[in-house]
Amino acid sequence: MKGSAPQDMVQGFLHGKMTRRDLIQRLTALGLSMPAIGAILSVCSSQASPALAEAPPGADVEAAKKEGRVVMWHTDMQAGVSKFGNLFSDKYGIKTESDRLLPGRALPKLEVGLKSGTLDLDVWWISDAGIMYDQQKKGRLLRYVSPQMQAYAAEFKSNPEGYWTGYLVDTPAIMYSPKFVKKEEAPKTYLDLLDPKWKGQLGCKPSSSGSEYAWWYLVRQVVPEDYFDRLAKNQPRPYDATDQMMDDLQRGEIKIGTCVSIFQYVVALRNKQPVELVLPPEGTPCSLEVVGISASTKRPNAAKLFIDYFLSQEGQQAWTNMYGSYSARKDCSNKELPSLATVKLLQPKDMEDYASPTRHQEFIKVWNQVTGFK
Amino acid sequence: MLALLLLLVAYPLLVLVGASFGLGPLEESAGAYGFRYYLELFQHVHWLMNSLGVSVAATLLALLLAVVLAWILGRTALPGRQLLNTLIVVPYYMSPLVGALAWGMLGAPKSGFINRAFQALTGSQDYLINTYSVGGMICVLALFEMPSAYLMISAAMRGIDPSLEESSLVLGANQLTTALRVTLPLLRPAILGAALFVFSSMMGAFAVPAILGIPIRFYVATTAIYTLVSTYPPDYGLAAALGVLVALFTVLAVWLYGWALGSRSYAVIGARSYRQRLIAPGRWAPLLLAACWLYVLVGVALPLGALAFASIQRGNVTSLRVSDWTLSQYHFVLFEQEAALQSIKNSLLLGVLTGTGGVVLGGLVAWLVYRTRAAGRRVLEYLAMLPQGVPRLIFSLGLLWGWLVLAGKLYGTIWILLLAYLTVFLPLTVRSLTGVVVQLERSLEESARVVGASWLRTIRTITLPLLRPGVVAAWMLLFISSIRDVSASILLQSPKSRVLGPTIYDFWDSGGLPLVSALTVVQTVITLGALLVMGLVLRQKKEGA
Repeated sequence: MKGSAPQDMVQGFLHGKMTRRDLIQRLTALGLSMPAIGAILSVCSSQASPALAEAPPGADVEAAKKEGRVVMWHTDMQAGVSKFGNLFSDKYGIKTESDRLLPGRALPKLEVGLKSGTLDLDVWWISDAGIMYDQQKKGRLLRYVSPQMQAYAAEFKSNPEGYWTGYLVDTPAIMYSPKFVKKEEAPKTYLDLLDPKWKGQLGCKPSSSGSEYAWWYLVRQVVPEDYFDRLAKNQPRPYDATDQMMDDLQRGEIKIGTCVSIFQYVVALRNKQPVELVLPPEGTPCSLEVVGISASTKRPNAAKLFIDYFLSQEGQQAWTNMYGSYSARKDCSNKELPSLATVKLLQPKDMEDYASPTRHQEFIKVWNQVTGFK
Repeated sequence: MLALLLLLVAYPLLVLVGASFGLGPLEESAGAYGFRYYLELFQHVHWLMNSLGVSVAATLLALLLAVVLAWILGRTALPGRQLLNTLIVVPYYMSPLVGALAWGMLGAPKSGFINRAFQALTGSQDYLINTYSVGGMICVLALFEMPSAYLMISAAMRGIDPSLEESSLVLGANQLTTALRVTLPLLRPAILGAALFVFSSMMGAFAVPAILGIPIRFYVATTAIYTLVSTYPPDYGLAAALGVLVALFTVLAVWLYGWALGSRSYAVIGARSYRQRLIAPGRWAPLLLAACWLYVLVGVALPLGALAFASIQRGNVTSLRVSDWTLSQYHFVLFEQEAALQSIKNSLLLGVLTGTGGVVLGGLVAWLVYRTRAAGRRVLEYLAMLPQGVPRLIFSLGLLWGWLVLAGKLYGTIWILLLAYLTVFLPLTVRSLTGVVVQLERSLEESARVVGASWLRTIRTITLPLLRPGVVAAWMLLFISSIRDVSASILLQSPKSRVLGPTIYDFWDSGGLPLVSALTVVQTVITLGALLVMGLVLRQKKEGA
C-alpha cells in the first residue's frame, strides 16, 4: 500500500498531512512497540521541517513597526511573559505590554472595555481553550492564519484555523519532594490521592483556575463517580498558582501537589531542588494554553507579527527553554521532560461541552466542595 | 458636598445593591430582580462570621498595642522616643501583602524561620508559632493595622492639655490612675475613631486572609468575594450581596460611634500654648523600652529581614549557602521589568494626589459634621464612612460599572484609580481629622469672630494651625494607604495604569517568592525614602516659620 511504510508516515506527519494521533495509530497497526514508536516521535519532534522553520512572517513587518506596540493579556508567569516580550522587542523594535489576568478577572474587563469602546487589547493568551472557543463564537477574535500554523496539529487549533492556536501543552502532574515522601509511599494513581494519610497534605488550585478546570474535566473520565467527594474528605489546600504550591512542597508544608504544571518540574531541576514526577497510568490531562488576536485590536499588524513570532520555531523554542513546558509545535522539543509521545494524554472530545458555562458551573460547585469554599 | 458624596459613594453602592438583587449578568441590564443571592448567603453565613470574629479580635489587639505605645512614647521621657516614633509606623508603610508573605515565611509550622531556629535550639519537633492559623492571621492583621490607630491616638494625645493630668497628680493620684482615669477618657473619641477605622479595615482586609487563610481553607468575606468574581463564570450577584451585608455592619459601627460619643464635650485644646508633660520612666525604663523595641522587632525588623533574605535566593527554598544567593531578582525588577517601574511611578503620583485631594475632601466633611449644625450632616457622615465597610474589591467593582456609564473614557487610566482612592480612603481621612476636630474648643473661633475676623481668616489663622498635626498625619496616612493598596486597584488597573499593590500580587501569584520579595523590598525602600524626604521638608518649613 502506498504511503504505508513508516518513513512515508513520518514524512506525512512532518508535512502536516497527518496528526500525531493518526501516526501513533498507524505505527501501532504496523506492529511497532511503544518504545520504538516513542523513539520515532522523538526524532520527528526534533526535526524541523525546513519549510516550516524558515517561513517568513505573514504579517506586514513595516506596518507592524509603525504601530509600535502590542498589548497582551495572559495567564502565565508575568516575569516569563515580560522576558519573552523583550525578545520580541529586541527582534522587531516593537514594545510589548502585558497583564496577567485569570479568566474571572479578564472577562469583566473585556466586557467593560467592549461596552465603553476603551478596550485596549491586541493578543490574548489564556489557559482555558474553552473560553477562546466561546469568544470565537461571539465574534470577538480576529482570524489570522499565520504561516507558522502549519507546524501545529489540528487538535491544537481552532476550527477553522486562525482564531486561536494552542502554543503550550501543559500536562499537570502529581509531584512530591523525596525529601519528605519516600518513593514507595508516594501516590502512583489518582485513587492513591484518596488515602487518608494525605489528609491536609495535598495541594491543588482553586475553582478560578483554568488548568484545574481542565484537570477536573478530564480526570473525571477515568475515576469513579464519587471520586471528588472522597477527595474533599482529604481537605486539599488551594493555591492560586503552582509557584506557591511548589514553595510549600519544597518546604514540607504539604507533601503532594496534585495538579502541578509540568514546567515546575523543570524549574525545580534547574534550581537543583529535589522533586519527583508522577504521570498516572490512567492518563494525564492535556491542558492547552492558547493564543489569539482580539477583534478590537487597534494594532492588527503588530498583533499578527507577534503571533508569527510566538508560534515560530524560534519563538516557541525560546519560550520552551525559558518556561520549561511542552510546546504544541511539532518541531520544538523540551529535552528536560519525558517525550510527550510517551505520555497518555487525556483531551476533551466535545469542545462545545468543554466550553459550556454549564459545565464550568458544575466544576465550580464540585471544586468549591473540594477546596472547602462552600 | 452632599451631592458630591452621593456621586462618589452612593452611586457605586447603588450599582452594587442593584447587582445583588439583579438576576441577570452584571454587564447587561437585569431583566428580573429577586432575593436569590441573599437567600443563598444563608448557606455561607460562616464567611461573614469569620470576618467578624477575626476583625473584632484583631481590632482589640491593635488598639491595646496602639494605646500602650502611644502612651509610652507620648507621655514618658523614654530615650530614643523620636526614633521609635518613626519606626513604629513603618509596618503601615508596607503593603499588607508584605506582612502576610513575611510572616508566612517566618511562622510556617514546618519551615518557618522562627520554628526552624526553635527546633534547632531545643531539639523539639514541635513548632513555636503557626501563622497559618486564625490566631496567626489576627496577630499579623493587628501588627500591620496598629500604626494607623497609633497615629490617630498619638495625634490626639499631643493635643491634650497636660494641666489636667498635673491636677490629677497634685490631688494624689499616681501615674497609672491618672492615665486610666484622666488621659484615657479624654482620648475616648480618638480611640473610638481608631477602633472604628481599624475594625472597618479588618473587615475589608484581603491580602492577609488570602495568603494565610485560604491555604488553611479559612475564608472571610473578602476572600470569598475574590473567589466568587475570579471564577468563570463569575458570581457577581452573590459577591455584591455579601458586600452589601458587610457594608451594613459599618453603618452599625458608625451609629455606635456617634452614640458612644454622645453630647459630651471633649474640648481640651485651649488658647494657651503649653509644653507636654513627660514622665520620667525611672526603673520602668528597660521594660518600656523592651516593649517598644519588641514591636519594632516583630513589626519591622523580622518581616523586612525575612523578605530581604528571600529576595536574594535562587529558588523558593531558602539557603544559608552564599553560592545560592543572587541579586538577579533586583536587576530584573529595576532594569528589565517595565511593569514594576511603571507601577512605582504611578503609585507615587497617585499617592500625592490622593493625599492632597483626600485631606481637602475629608477635612470639609469632618468640619461640616462636627463643627456646624448643617442639616443632613449625619447623613454626610454615614456616606463618608460607607466605603470603609464595603470590601474595596467589591466597591471597586461598583465603581468600575458605575463610572463606566457616566464617563467610560476614565476606564483604563490612572484617573479612575484616583477616584477609587479618594472614595475608599474618605473614611480614613474623616476619622483621622474628626479625632482632632472634636477636641478643638469652639471658643477660640468664636473669639476670633467677635474681634472681627472673617470665617476664612479664622480658619486660616486659628483653626488650621491647631489642626496641623492631624492634617499632616492624615495626609501621610492617605499617601501610604494609596501606595500599599491592593484590593481597590486590582480590578481597575490596566497595563497603562499599573500600580504597586496589584503588581506585587501578580508577582506573588505567578512570579515565585524571590521575585516578589525583591519587588516588595524595593517598594518599601522607595516608600520610606519618600517619607524621609517629606519629613525633612516639613521640618525645614517648621524651622523656617
